[in-house]
This record gives sequence, C-alpha cells and structure tokens, in this order.
Amino acid sequence: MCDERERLIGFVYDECDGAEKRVIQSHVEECGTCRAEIAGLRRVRQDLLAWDVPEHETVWRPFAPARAAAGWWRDVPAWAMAAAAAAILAVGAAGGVAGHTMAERANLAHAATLPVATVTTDDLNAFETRMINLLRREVDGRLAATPMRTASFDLSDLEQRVLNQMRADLRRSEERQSRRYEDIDVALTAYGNDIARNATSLNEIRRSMNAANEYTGAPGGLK
Amino acid sequence: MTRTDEELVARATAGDLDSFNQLVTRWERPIYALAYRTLGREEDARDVVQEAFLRAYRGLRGFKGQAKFSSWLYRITLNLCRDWIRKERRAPLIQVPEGTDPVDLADAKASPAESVEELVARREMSEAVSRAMAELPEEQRTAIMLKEYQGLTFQEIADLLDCPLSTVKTRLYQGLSVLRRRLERRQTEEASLKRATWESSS
Repeated sequence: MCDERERLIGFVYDECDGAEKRVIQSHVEECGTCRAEIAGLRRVRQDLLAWDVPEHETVWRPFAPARAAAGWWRDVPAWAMAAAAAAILAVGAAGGVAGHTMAERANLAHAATLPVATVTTDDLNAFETRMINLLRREVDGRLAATPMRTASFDLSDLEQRVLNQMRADLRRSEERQSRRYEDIDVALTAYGNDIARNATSLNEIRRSMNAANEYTGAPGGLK
Repeated sequence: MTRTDEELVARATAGDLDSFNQLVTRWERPIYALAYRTLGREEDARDVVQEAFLRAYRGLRGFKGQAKFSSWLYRITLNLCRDWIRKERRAPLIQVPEGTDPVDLADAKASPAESVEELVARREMSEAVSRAMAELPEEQRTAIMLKEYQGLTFQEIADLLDCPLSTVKTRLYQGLSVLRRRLERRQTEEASLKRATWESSS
C-alpha cells in the first residue's frame, strides 16, 4: 500500500468498493505514513474549496421562439418551394421513360424559372395536373407506338411513383430548410449576444468616464 | 415538472428552443466555473461559455446520448479553453478578484457570520489555490477541476478525457500532492512572517 499511494485516492474520495475500503482501513490503522498522507490529502481538498468563482450575470441571451421576418423567402411556405422543385425533378426523371418534345421541354424550363415567391397552392395544383396530363399523353403515344410492351406497363403505378418521389423530395427539402433556419437562429443569437456585451462594455466606459469627470470636476458627462 | 437533460435534449433536437434555453440555464453556472478556473479571466470565460453553448446547439443532432449531456458539454468547453489558451499563446492567467482591499471586503461580505479577517483569509487562500493550480500541468489541473469543482466520478472523468481510470487516479494523486506541498509551504511562510511581525512589534 505504501508503494501504491494512488490507491489512497479512491479511499479519500470514497469511490472504492467495500473490499478495497476494508483493506485500506486496516492498513491505515497500522501505518502512520499512509494515515498522514490521507489526512494531508483531505486537508488540501478542504483548501481547494476556498477557490471561488466571481458572481457573474448570465452570458446567454435565450433563443426567442418567434422568428423575426427576414427576407422574402420566409413568406413562401417551405412545402410550396419544395413541391415546385420536386415536381420539376420528378417530371425530369420521368422524362427518361416518357420522353419529351423540344417544345414541351421549353415549357418545363419556363416553369422552372417561375419566381417561387409568387407560387400559390392553386398554381401548384394546376402545374401538377398539367405535368400529369403531359406525362399521360407522352406515355399513351409511346404505348401506341410500341404495343408489345403495354401488357406490363401500369400508368397509375407510374403516377404513384412520381407522387411518392415528390413527397420524399418535399420532406427532404423541408428538413434542409429547417436546419438552415436553425443556423440563422444561431447566427442571430451570437450577433445579439455580441451586441449585449458591447452595450455592457459601453456602459462601463460611460460609468468610468462619468466618475473621472466627477473626480476632476470636468463639466458634463456621458449619458 | 422538471425534465431530465435527456428529455430536454430530445425536445431541443426536435426544434423546441425553450428546452435548449432550459439546458443553458441549468448548466451555465458550472460551465462558466470550469471556463473561469481554466482560463483565469472573466471576459475569456464569458466568451468561451457563449461559444460552448452555440456549439452544443449546432451539434445537438450529432449528440446521440452516448455520454451524459453535461459530460459532452464539459468536453466542448475544455476543448474550447485549450484552443483559447493555444491561440493566446499564454498560460492560464491568475486574476485577483476585485475587493481584496479589506474595506471593499467588508462591503462585499457574503455571510454575516464571517468576520472581515476571516473573509480576507479566505480571499487570500482562494488566490493561493488559483496560483498553485495554474502552475500544475494541464492534465493534473483538469482532473482536479473536474473532480473537485464539477463533482464528476473517476469513470466520468476517464470517459470525458478518454483515458484509463488508473490514469485519472494517478493525475489526481500527483496533482493533489503538489498542491498540498505548495499550500503547506505558503502557510509555513505566512506563520513565520506573522511571528516575525509580532516579535518586532513587541
């Protein structure tokens, strides 16, 4: 035991199992050196309690649950933006199966460049209907041209898959935007905390200046 | 009803900002104490605490509950303190708290049962401890701070510092032994100084 003083640490902090505790206790009863060591360690622990931390105000400005409006994109529902993007993606993917004419591709390109800020639910519904009709026409045309493959082709299944894809893209987009909002919140909070700290420093400077003015008798003071 | 850290973390991860605010309220004081004792300066401690909570918030999704939330927070804080010290290229600074003047101390007396002399002695001891701690190797200092002031178990410290349990005990023993020698030497020196002062005045 005298050669393994680290074992005493568990005893001093009362963090050793019962068997170890009994071994140390019986050793200490007979060993004055280890007894003094334990007493010294307990004394220094007592001294450590004197090291206090100055009182301080909170350094944290709580997150505000309500987000301040910032930027036009906040006015557009996340699902609307995502749905527009998903619809374009889905139709683009389906195009590999159905194919498109150049003119219709131009329509798609036009749809993709629509300003999202003005997209409404009605617009999206109309857009979706248009896309499905477009797909239906293309697929019908293809099926008429290649009758051998019609037996195994199910249009409703394609529609369902397109819709599923849209929903999945929509969900992923909402998650991405939600994370983005959180990043913005964090940045705003950091900025707010900096401002609060600067204001505190400024007030301290003001107080010091006023105190100095009072002391020197200089006229006026900082407000 | 008081929610556990784990419940608050789950809610905060799902976007409930108020839950995160509650976690900050619960842990700000110990985190500040750790940062202050590591860095030795109030302004630095404030900056580190703020950054620690921001990092924690950003990293909530990555926190899978493999450790206690508080341990995770302590780890973030210690890493930030380490970076801070490296960036500033300086050793932990000893800041003498305001109010070392006995007159100020009399005004700032926390406990009515404590005399001014006792308060002065406590402040002097506080300063002596902070000096002695600042001179310890970082590993021993960190182990002592986590054990004595944050109240972590040996196992929690080992997990947090990513080292074996026996290493934690060794660091604690060696650190406490050095502190003990330094503080006892200081007390001996003070006693002889008082004796010399008393003898010269009588």
